[in-house]
Amino acid sequence: MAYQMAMENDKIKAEVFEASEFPDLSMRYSVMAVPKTVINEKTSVEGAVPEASLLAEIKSAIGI
Amino acid sequence: MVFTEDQRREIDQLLSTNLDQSVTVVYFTQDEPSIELPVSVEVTPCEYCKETEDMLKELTGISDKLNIEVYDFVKDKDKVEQYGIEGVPSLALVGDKDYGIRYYGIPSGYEFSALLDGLINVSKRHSKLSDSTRKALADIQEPVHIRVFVTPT
Repeated sequence: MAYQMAMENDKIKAEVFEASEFPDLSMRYSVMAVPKTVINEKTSVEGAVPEASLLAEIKSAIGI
Repeated sequence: MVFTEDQRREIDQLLSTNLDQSVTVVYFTQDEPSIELPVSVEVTPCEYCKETEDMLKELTGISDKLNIEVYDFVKDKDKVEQYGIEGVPSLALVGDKDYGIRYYGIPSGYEFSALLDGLINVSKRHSKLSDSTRKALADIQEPVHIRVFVTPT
């Protein structure tokens, strides 16, 4: 889902991390459960995020 | 051989019916430690790099619409910077432009399906999102960096 969002706008970058292989990053973003989605270092959601919710989270992260 | 004959056939079928234009998998690996060690010791700088590379090479070999470029995280600094790579193993899915799609780690289990899905979407040069979502996303002016943490299942 994040990948598809990245395709729609060059300003959107979507990175997926295999948490156990990147323990430092997982710790930095306090990953306790997966999947966990972090937007612009601040907004985060645990669990699967449907299209409309992810869009809402993106909007909230950039304050629109 | 990473895939079994059955898996190969299944992937081939999925890709041949769904791939449209070409996609390049830009893969980052590391074969030397990032720091110079005072003594010679056996070090594996990247536990899953070789396995991931073998798998991606075999996968991209299944379709002539898929290409692979391999770069080293330590030696190819310009490419690491160009793609904003933070660690290895990692890959970017690139179509006629870089869509900002990255995967870090070995794509196994469910993540392998997500990789195939990503390849197909990039190949089609458009997502499967609804028109209203696509319109809302197109209006965004500020940089958005989405990081999703997963574990293979």
